[in-house]
Amino acid sequence: MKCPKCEVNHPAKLGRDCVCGYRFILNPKVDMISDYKMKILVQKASNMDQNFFTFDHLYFTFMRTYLKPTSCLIPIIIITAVLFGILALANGFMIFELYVCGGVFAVLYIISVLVRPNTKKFKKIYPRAKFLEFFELWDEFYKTEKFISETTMENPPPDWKEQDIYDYGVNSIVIVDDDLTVDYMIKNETHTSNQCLILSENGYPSYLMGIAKDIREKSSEIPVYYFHRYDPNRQRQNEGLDADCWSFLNGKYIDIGLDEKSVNEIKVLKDLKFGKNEVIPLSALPPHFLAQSMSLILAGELVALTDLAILGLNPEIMGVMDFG
Amino acid sequence: MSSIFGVIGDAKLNNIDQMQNVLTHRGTKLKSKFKSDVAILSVFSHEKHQEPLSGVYESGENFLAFSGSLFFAPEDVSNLKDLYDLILKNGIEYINQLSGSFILLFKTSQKTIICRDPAGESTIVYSTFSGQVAFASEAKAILSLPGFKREIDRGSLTRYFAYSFLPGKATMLKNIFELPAGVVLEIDSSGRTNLKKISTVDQIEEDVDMSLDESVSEFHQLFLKCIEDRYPSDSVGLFLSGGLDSTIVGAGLRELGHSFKSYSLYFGKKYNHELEFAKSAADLMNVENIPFSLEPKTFLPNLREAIWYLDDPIGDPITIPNYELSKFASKEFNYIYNGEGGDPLFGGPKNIPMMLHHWYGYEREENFREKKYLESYRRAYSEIESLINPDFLKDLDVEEELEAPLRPYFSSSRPHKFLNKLMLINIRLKGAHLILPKIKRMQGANGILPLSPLFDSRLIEFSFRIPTSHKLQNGIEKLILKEAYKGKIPEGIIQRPKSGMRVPVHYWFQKELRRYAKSIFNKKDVENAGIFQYKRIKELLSYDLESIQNRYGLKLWMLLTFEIWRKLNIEKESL
Repeated sequence: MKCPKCEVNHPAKLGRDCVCGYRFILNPKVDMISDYKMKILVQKASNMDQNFFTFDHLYFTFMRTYLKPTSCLIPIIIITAVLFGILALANGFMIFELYVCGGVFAVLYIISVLVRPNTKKFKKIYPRAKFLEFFELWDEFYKTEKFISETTMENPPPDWKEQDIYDYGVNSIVIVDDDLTVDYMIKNETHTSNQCLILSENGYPSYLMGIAKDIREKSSEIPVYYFHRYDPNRQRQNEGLDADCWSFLNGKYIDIGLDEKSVNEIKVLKDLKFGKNEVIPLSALPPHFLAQSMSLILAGELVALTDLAILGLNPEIMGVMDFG
Repeated sequence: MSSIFGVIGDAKLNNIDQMQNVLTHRGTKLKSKFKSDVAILSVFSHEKHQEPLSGVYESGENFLAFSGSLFFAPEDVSNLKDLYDLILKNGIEYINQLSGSFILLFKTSQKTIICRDPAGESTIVYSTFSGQVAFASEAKAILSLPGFKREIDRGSLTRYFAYSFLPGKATMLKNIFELPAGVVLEIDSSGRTNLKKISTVDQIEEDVDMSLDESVSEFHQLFLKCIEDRYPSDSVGLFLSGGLDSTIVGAGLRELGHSFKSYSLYFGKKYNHELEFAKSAADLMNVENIPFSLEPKTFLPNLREAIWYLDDPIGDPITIPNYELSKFASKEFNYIYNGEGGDPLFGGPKNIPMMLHHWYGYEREENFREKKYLESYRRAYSEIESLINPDFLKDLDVEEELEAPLRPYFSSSRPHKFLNKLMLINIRLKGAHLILPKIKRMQGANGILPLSPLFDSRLIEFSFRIPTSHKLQNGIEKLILKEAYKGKIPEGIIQRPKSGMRVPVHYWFQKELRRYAKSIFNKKDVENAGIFQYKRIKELLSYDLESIQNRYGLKLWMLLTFEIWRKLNIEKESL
């Protein structure tokens, strides 16, 4: 077992305590994942402890890592190189060996892509509930500071001594489909970096609904964006934001959520090989992809989530991202 | 651009000429040399600039030394004697009524007072050294004095990585201090120093009852006056970014009937730029627009030189492009207007994010405002402990070092409005320690006198007086500026959100600057200096281009600037 603290291999027979003092919590033979892999996953999901993340983010990070098409590449290269070595030793270096090995490489790679497990298989091998159980076990011992497990913003902030805190409005209002996503975005400061008010479609947090209404009343030009999951049962855009609390919008909002087109065109989603009838949450998008897309959409540089997938991180459009 | 330097107290250091040797870039035209039992000082001005007031006026035991330009005084001030008489009559607080870019030293029999212009355009540093107070326009002049121990101020190093500049009085060098704006340094006859606040900006009656139309009209008249009062008897240029602030300065110049050439900076066509906006503004004003493209291969040979001119390290990546653009423009002009000041004075970006930090209900840490303000800079605030060697930070209260400069502003009951509190921080810290010194030094090093009408002290006072909703309303920043110039500048410039000058350091450090950065941060040098953790620098250097939000390029730029500064100033490497 590789120790996440000192990165030295620790023989299982020596017990659960590494010489560096680290206590192993998980047993990879039983618990589907090792301490080391869990730590790497947490680091990935939290962007090296810089961002907050939910369990969904962690699970999709795990899935993305597992289903990565290049994960088979190294073994294939090794097999091909060994084959080349054997042929070269037996016959001396000949050009046909290169062709043979090239062919073997291509065949193996195609097979690896074809037999690569899809999301369904992944979920079978690593059930979500079971993975959560192991993560909680690990998290209980090695508290992950950036992990968000529940909503925490139900109560309003204190009364501030300055009276003008709410007076200046925002650049846009963002509605997301899940309360926990609001916490996730606020803790990662999506609202401040995009100067927007973020609420859920349920009207969470409720004490800000009056402010949202007020902002829209003062200026109907302030755009309202609706970011939501992909739901195969949804027939068309601008359907779904039907909670009473949003009736004051009169249906005037920009639907920027995941639709069939985005699911088919965004490579990072396609790689996850979702089933046809699966609901795909926003958390399936890599956090940096969602954050960057949102920033560009809110700044008026892109109009849909698919755009960033098509354009990539082109320096010409990244001007609105604060990279200076 | 001029320089002032000298010593006050029991004059043991009789020879201050070596101070001039390192300040020649600020001018070599001697305006005045003064020597008495208790003070030795010199004032020099730049050959290219008209600074008629620079010099020393003596009256018995008293004297007034002035270095820089005076743009406005409520009374007629045609020579230093006029100014001396007014200060003698009204007290040093009279400075608050002036507008200019100057350093002033006023000596009476009881004490000597040193102060900056009210906005903080000019800077002065000082040090209590060998029983006397040495002062100079730049720290390098104090460093040139024999026996001065060159040591990094550890608190300043942490602040540098959080702010990208040094707010407040501490400089990067231990025992050299920068005089904060709005504050005077008093030195008594026994050489004791005391800082005394004279600015009354925070006491201004806020939110006076006036309509938006009235505010706009008053702003417009005052703004034109600020431009005109700066206009020299020489031709001028304008640094035109294509943003709102520099465009309205250009429009103001044209309203006053002045012609000028405009210069616009960009970083090659593959990077996002604002040339089309700059060109559309220049076309509408009927002035020439000269685009200036800058790539690392152009500025790398001059990088050390530019950082040496910065004096105290400033980690904002726009510094060096500003230096190169100034060098280019100095072939034609000695005076260049700019749009600095619009953001800090009139509700620019970063104010709404600070408001939003208060909107949601969650548990907040003690001093959360200070913390959030620091985070809002988006520099290396969260990186400090992973970046700097723990031994170097030993026994240092890092949190306190970082938050202390902000605390007086957040804890004060004045100004009443939170927006005005933020503005005051931006003017006093970012303005007086980053924006204004940066342009002054980068342009001054190339013989250009920067003209920043939007940072005029009269506009600062005006901005605190008007209703805050005239600055920021319904998410619209700098509303009053937009209303004043609606229809006079291209609509696209008014409508588009602020984007600022984006320097593509994120890409450069993976491409053109990669090898250079690796050579500066080689393991041996980093470990010998003992300041940074090599492991973290190595991680930063090998970032993934896609992780744009971690701003690795910016962090590396701050590191690079500091490291070059350190080699020049601490290790005394030659240019």
